[in-house]
Amino acid sequence: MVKLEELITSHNGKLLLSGNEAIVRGAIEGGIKVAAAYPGTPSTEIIDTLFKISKKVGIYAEYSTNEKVALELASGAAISGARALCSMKHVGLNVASDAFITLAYTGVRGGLVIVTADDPSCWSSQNEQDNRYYARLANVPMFEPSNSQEAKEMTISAFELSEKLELPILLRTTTRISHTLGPVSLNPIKKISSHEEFVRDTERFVMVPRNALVMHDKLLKKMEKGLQISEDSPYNKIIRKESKKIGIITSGNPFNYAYEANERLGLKASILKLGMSFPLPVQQILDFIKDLKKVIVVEELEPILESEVRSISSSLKQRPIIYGKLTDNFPRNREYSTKIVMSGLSESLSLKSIPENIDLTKITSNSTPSRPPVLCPGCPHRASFYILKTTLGKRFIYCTDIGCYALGIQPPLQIGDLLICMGASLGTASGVSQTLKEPAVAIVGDSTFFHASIPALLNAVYNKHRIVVLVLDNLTTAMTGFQPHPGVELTEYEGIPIEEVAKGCGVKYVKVVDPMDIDGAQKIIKNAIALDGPSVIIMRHICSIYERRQGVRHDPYKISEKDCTDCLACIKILGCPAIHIVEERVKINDVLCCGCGLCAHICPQKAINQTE
Amino acid sequence: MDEFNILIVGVGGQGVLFISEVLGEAAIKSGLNVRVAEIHGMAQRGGSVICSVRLGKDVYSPTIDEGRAHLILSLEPIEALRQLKYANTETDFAVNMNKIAPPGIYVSGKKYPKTSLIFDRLKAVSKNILAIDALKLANEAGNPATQNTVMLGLISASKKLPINTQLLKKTIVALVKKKFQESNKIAFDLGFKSYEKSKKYASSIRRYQK
Repeated sequence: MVKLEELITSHNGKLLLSGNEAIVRGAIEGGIKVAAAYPGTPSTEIIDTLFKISKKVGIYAEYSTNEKVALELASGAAISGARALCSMKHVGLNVASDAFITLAYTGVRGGLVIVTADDPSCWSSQNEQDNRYYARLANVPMFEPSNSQEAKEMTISAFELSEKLELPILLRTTTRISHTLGPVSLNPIKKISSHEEFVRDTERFVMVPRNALVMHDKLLKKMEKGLQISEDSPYNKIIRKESKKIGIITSGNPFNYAYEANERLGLKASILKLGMSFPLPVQQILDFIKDLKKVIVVEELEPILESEVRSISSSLKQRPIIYGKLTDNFPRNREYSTKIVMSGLSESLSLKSIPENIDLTKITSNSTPSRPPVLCPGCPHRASFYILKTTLGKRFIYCTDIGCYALGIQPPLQIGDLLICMGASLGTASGVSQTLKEPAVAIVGDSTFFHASIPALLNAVYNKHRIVVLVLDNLTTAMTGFQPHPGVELTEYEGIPIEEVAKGCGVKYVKVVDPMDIDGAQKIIKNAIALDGPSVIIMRHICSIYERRQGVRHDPYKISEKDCTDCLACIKILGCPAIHIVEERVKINDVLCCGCGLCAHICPQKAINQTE
Repeated sequence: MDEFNILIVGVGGQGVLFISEVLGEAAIKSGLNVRVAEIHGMAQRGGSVICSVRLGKDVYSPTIDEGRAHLILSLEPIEALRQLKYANTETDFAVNMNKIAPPGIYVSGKKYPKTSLIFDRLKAVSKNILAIDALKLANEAGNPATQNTVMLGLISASKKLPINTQLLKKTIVALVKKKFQESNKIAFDLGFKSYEKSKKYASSIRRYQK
């Protein structure tokens, strides 16, 4: 792609880049040597891009098995002197947190940037946790860009600061920063020399209690230096406006809304924009608020800045009134918009209500049919769910997991009773089974199996939990855009078969079946559910979209107008997006149809056949 | 120009992201400041997709506020209805009339809304509606996947977009694979030429009657 080429070779000019691409460019300008990540929306394009360009720019990049492994690898590289970057979605940092928090004690030698991409409004996530808390929990500095240009610049600054303080640095984005494209000015790509060597220093790098206590003291000292850097940071700046009474404090993406809301309401409030948002520049905040009457804190999710500004303001004799979520003027959930911030500002300042351009009541109507995401045409998971429904029905509890197959909860298949986080299907199914004294089903994808399911599988074997583990193996990490995982055979990578892993974990009943072999798979599931201990059934069939991308096409199916009675069984049982109704007749859209043949299998009239 | 807000909506897989990236690239080449907000991941699996492109010197927010879209480009009729809250009485609509029924409506036994009903609701908000069968024109161009390019040609002909037509066309060609360049050029021109006809489409649809 043209853009990719420009991203790694251009030395000047402007490019339209997403926040994620801008971070990649920043990493290149900043002399990155090692990148590791497990994909997760909205962070995925960072590792996707770094992986694609790794050979051309001479860096090492890998898709690691999970976020913890990725961070450990990046830490090892950075402690050995290389500049390293590790990116993940917000919940990925939960997985990596064990390594992350103690890593703040040892610190690093080469720069280490950890990107956490939060997802307010759960666009593609199971929660909307606020990872700004992680900077406080581990006590490491955090940068929060407000646009792509800043994302690039802060990545470079984060490498530099990381080496200066010998600490890992968090770079926090949110979905709207990661996936918003904006102009980015490029700077020359210079050769940055680094010295790669592991210098043994047991007291610093081996975290036994005696050493950890000393390193904790040192971390506190480092962060005192970090505070001074934050006070002087060019990323913490005031956008001065006329008002002598009102001020706004904000960071990251909410700055964008606050800026526009301030203009549209004509408040003329000065804005303190915190780009290096931890440690907070205490003196700068005091100087900003001391002569103001009213301070409004604009931040998405938790009232973190607000609480801290409140506490900072307590040292002032004349304290301004501080408004935010704790005063109930701003919501504590969902992503913001300029409108939400305008309404919060108006409420805080008791302004008259904002006029609407249009009477929304006139146009809101619930008559537009909803269009939730669904399993794709030809998706092999549809067959797996059909098989489960026809063999086990509603008789057992289905503990599902993170991946495309979470869409199995949609009508008409509706498979999925419990879903918490990556890899939780096996553990939760074990608990359900133990308590109900009956088998439970765990549904997990191939990539998720490797990510976090193996310890739970070992646990189920050892403790004899009656779980049927259905590994929906579509030979790729489909949901995030077809990344490889340890089970995938590629030119340079030898795949590790899931069945061998399961056997190695001590599972006695391990079967591999193609979900398109409906009868065969039904038999296996019936056998498995009758067992006393855990079983692993690998439903293996390539993702239909991934297969198409590799240029493989199957002839679409067609409904015989003569034989079809319009009983709608295919539609009501399977819900495949390729089957629709045209002029009162059931038809197959031959552009969408992937030729999986599941509809032909279930058609009571045998009216569906493959075309040639 | 203060700001110009374009909302692009459609169904996952229709190429909503492509339109927004073309507009973003062309804006940068025109020396404009721009924010293009996309959503990736789960929403794309056949679900409703919504992207926004904001042009203007003082544009900061990635997203468009309700009631503040200047142009709503919809690749599917009911997707335009779904996002009516972003429109005001001055908003221009460009709607691809190629209907894609959500698979869920057949499962639940409901029906896709009648064209007359869709237009009644659009007309209740704005009188500026361009409507076109982009699939038909894309097929004429020899590539059904060029519906999005047909729509770009159409909105370019309306003269409201602060981006030069030739530059827009060049940007599309630069962003698609070589083997699709020709069909995209044709699709763009077919969309461009359909402007007058597409203006009459909405008024030709009678009011909905039960």
